[in-house]
Amino acid sequence: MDDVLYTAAEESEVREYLIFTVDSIDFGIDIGLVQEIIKIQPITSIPNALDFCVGILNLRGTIIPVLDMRIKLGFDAVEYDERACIVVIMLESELIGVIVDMVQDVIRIPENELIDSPPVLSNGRQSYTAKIACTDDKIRQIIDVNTVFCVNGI
Amino acid sequence: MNIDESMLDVYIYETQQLLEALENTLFEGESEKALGSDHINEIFRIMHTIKGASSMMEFEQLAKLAHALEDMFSHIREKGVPDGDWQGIFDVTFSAVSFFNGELAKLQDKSSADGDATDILNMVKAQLERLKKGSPAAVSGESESSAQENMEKLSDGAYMSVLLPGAEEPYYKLKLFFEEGCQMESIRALGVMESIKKACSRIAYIPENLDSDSASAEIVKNGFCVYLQTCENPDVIREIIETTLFLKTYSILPIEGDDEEIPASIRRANNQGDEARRGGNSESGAADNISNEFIAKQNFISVNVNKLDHLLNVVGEIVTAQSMVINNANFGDLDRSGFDAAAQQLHSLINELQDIVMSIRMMPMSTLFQKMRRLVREMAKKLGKNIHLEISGEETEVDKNVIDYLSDPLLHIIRNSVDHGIEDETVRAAAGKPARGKISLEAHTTGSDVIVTISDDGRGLQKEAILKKAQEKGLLTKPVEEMTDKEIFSLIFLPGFSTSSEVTEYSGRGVGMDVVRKNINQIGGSISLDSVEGKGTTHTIRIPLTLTIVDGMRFSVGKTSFIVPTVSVLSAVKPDPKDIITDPEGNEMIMLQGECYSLVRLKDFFNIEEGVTDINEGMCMHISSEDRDFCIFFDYLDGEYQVVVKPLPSYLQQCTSSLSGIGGCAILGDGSINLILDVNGL
Amino acid sequence: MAKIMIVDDAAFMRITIKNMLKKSSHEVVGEAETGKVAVERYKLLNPDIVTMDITMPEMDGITALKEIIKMDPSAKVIMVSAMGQEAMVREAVINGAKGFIVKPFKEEGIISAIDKLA
Repeated sequence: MDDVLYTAAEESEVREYLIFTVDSIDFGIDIGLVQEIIKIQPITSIPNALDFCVGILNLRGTIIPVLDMRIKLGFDAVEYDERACIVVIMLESELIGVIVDMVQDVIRIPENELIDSPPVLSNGRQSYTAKIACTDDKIRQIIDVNTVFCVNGI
Repeated sequence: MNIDESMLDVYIYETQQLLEALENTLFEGESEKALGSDHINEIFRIMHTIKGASSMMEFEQLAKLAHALEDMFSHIREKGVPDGDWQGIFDVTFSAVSFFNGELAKLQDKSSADGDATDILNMVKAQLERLKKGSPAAVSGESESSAQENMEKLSDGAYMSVLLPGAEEPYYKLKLFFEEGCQMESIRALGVMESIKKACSRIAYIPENLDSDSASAEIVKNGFCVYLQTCENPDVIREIIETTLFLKTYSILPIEGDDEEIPASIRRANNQGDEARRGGNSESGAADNISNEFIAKQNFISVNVNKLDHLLNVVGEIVTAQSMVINNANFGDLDRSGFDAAAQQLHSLINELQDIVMSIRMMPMSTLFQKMRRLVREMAKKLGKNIHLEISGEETEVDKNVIDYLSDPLLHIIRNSVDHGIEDETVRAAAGKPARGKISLEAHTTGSDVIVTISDDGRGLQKEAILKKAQEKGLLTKPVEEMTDKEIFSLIFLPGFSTSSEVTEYSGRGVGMDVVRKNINQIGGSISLDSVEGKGTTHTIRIPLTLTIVDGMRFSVGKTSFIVPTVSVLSAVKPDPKDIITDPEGNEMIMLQGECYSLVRLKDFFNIEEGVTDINEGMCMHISSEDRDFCIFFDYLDGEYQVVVKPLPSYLQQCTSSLSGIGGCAILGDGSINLILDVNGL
Repeated sequence: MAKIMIVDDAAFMRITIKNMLKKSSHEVVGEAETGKVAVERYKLLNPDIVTMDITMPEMDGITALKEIIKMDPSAKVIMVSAMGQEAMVREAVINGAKGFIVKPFKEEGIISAIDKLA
């Protein structure tokens, strides 16, 4: 179905991104890192957890940590509604679950339509956004999972 | 090339086994600076088998190399090594083994064996040329000539020389410890000998002299070690051993008959069998013998580890399902005696099943230790150091997973010891140390843990250097003068720390001990380090023996459910506020049966929001940890469960301020997750 | 549950062992104060396990052990020895004693020894 897009951008590599929303802002993540998307389910809280860590859940026998993307990205916590879901991401060799407000779509973005985002934001904080994509008149921030969730990102 | 995957597995497994045997033979030969005729034959046979199998699998390079080695050893078999320079032979053969192992590792990783053997092939050919140049009739060394005579005698009766596969009885190594303080250990050992000798055809033991005054002390320290050869099932030996009074632990393991640790009196090298076997002079004859021998030796099948993992998981689920069924059975007024009897039987069957599954997964450390021996040899040679690796406790069995996780840390630590720990000979001489450096690698079990220690007698760690480096990297969290030695040494385990000032082939810079610790933590283990400058360094790794299925008591604090292993629980009581004492600092204590214990409120320890604070409403449990007895206070006790322990995802370490007190988690039959309390962390 | 015979020339030791075994599931079916009596009573009582002192008048424990093993090669005899008797214990072990216990011993020691053979 995306053949047209593909030929149009044949000079540049096309990647697929999962687009999700947090606090009405669109974010994208490389689909290659996404293992699956599950609905919100009972999560066991962990003592002494940092604020963005919701707890752990049982994904068919595998225990995975669950993080709240809102808090991780610096937004205020809200009550999850029925559109909220958990995106299971492969981080290095481990799975983690990330709660997002809602998942929208998977779209293809050619590499050459991505713009590098400035590494440091005006408020001096390091940006989680690796690239910015402008397609279909929409701006989407492609987040770099490794920056958001790695040790140094905390 | 289209290879059937299961055949590939068999090929890899078999070839690895053969290479391991080959390596043992080479190590033995190297220490004696020559190979006896039986060893030459063995190597020839091994190469022959590898050549055949590799060509079947169309691994051309491997087949070629095996062929070249086969030629070389065939020549050595006929003509010996005229100039007596065995070292060249050993070196080239060791290199070939490394090449084979490398290619097999690639195959195991599902990539193709694409290594180029040309260089090493040329080395083998050069050796062969050298051998051919030497005088053809020369006979090297006395042992060699007598062996040759032996062979000639035997080849006269070539037709009767094919040994039946079953005629070679397997060897076992038995090691046992008596209970502490049982006294007269040497005579107890003698009693063991008396009782098992009926079942064995040949037997030898260490300490050799049980009548000597020091024998008892030696047995207390190192255990009593028996090497035996028997056609009986090892279970027969086990049965006999188990009736020994005051026996603490024992292990019995199959061992290769030509393993160098077997006392020479019963080692296979003395056995005529090997020479007899080479009687078949034609190549095909030799090949037949190999396959026969292989079948006779391998009373094992290889199983894909994934299947075992799956099996373990299923058994875990069964355990959970079983306790659910039993805990939820509601009979009202009906008679439940039939159900209870059946449940009891089911329970014991499942326990047995569990034990079997666990035992299948248990593997001795020997393969892992062998790998280290190889590493030390290669590195010492390259770095021009003189190092002896002393190994003990390689029969210690641990879960397959543990072996996998332990491999990299051990490699890393031993590399460090060889590269940075052990000094050059001149430096050692100047320091008044023996020229030969020593690294010892030891494993033993203590109840629920396996302890692996790696120590060297090298230069030790320099505290000053560590502190300086830590300071540079901003890793210090408290004033230097307040730090204990242990705390200083543990700085090494922090990410981004590495004391190596130069980068060598073996110890790269940057990837450091933090990775080692991470690996060990992943299987619930811990590592600590001790060092004396100028004297050496000791690493101690502690790993749970099998932490997979435990009996536990479930309780809750607020909404959080915990499971504490039943072995740590001494009693559970409803506390009386009268028994609670608060000291001036606000620490609470509780009186139990006239004794005073500190009271840990888990709600506070874990910072859990909800939960009982009134002593009257909660429960207490009397807990015994490694170093102290104490009490914990929580909301309510839920009952006993059997659970499968899973490690916490290691990523959680980045999401919490502290995970101490939590040893893992368990999924119950209803899918809920419970945290496993680590009583040593409270 | 096993039937036990206690052989010792000292009444104190016989009573001590008997008291210790009261807490176990085993039953003391007989006692003997010399090796000679022990051999005769063994035939009569046919105990499962014998605890045998080494130094006794009339017939010592080693000789009694040999006699008993001669009659019943599967006899289970535990020698009760003391430090300094190594040579005799050694002889007993070679001659078929199933094990030995060294004085002074604790209740757990002797019960676990008997449990193991029972």
